[in-house]
Amino acid sequence: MAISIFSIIFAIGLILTLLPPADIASFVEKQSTAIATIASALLGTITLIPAFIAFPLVGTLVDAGVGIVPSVAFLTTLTMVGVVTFPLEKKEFGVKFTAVRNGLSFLFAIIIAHVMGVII
Amino acid sequence: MVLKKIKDNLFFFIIILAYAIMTTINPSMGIESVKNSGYYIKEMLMIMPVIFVLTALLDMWVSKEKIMKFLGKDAKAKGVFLAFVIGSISAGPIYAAFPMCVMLHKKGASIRNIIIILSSWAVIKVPMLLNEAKFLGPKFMVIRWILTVVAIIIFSWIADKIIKDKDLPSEETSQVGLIINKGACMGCTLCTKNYPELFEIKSKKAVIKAHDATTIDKEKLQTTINACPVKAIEYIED
Repeated sequence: MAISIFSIIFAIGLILTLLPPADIASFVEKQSTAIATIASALLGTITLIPAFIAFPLVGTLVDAGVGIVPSVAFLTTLTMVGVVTFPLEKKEFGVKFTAVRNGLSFLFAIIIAHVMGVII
Repeated sequence: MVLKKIKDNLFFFIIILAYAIMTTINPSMGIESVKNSGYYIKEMLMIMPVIFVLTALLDMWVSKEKIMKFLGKDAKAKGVFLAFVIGSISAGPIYAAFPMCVMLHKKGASIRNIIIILSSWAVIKVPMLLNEAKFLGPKFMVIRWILTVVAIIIFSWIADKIIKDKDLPSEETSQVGLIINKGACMGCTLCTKNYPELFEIKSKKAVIKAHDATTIDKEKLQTTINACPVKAIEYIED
């Protein structure tokens, strides 16, 4: 448990050196909001980062200039939609339940992100 | 032995290797990466005690067992509210909630309330809100919290219209005796501390020791079952 958390943190440290937050921000800026949002939501579904590391990480990215909408989409799908946990969920609740819950969560994560973008 | 250790912690060794390669090629980038990681470790160590204490306090103050009684199909608005409460105060990743929700569904909780528990368990943890406010600002946190709650209320209602009770696998629990749900167990070792005569940890999961069923201390076992944070222990008397 502890080892995997530290591994994730050191992986993030490494990635942020190779891809500085400012570069990530300027790359995201060049994309249309819709594409950036869907891409970051997809990234959120396939990664398994504990939330207490995800918040400072997204904080760093937002400070560097990454837009609110993709950031929120990433944060929401990160915790609510799980490709990695899909088999486990399917075993406990069945295919239909798992597909509907994850699908709706993904859809609403994108809606939440866009509404956030309008308000903030 | 060494190979097995590497295989178990493959990701960790890949990261170490990546650091070694990068530091050899470009030492300043290696130092930069360690500095970056150090920032997150420092932040994590500062926020973790707060999260742990808050989670423990919430667990103590709010009796989950009492709330679960109110989660049936006729619970309506009160059930929705209580489902949010259960999800928001609980600790651990979303998969830790699966066995508990299956149990609640067997006891009559609606699909809607189960979706609410799972979703709020995932996104709106009370101790995590502090963390979010610290790094992204209180305004960001409050708005995201409100929008998420509204979204969960809407999509749990939609999901309830699509999914029927019969879509969930109904396991015939013909098995009697003591069972550990291996998929749910996180290897936290609480059971081995509460009832060391009956439980032990093998390759990071709890297993039941060979025992004489007649000598089980029911009271001690019940305490252990209640203590399990993911409700992975089940005991059906014959």
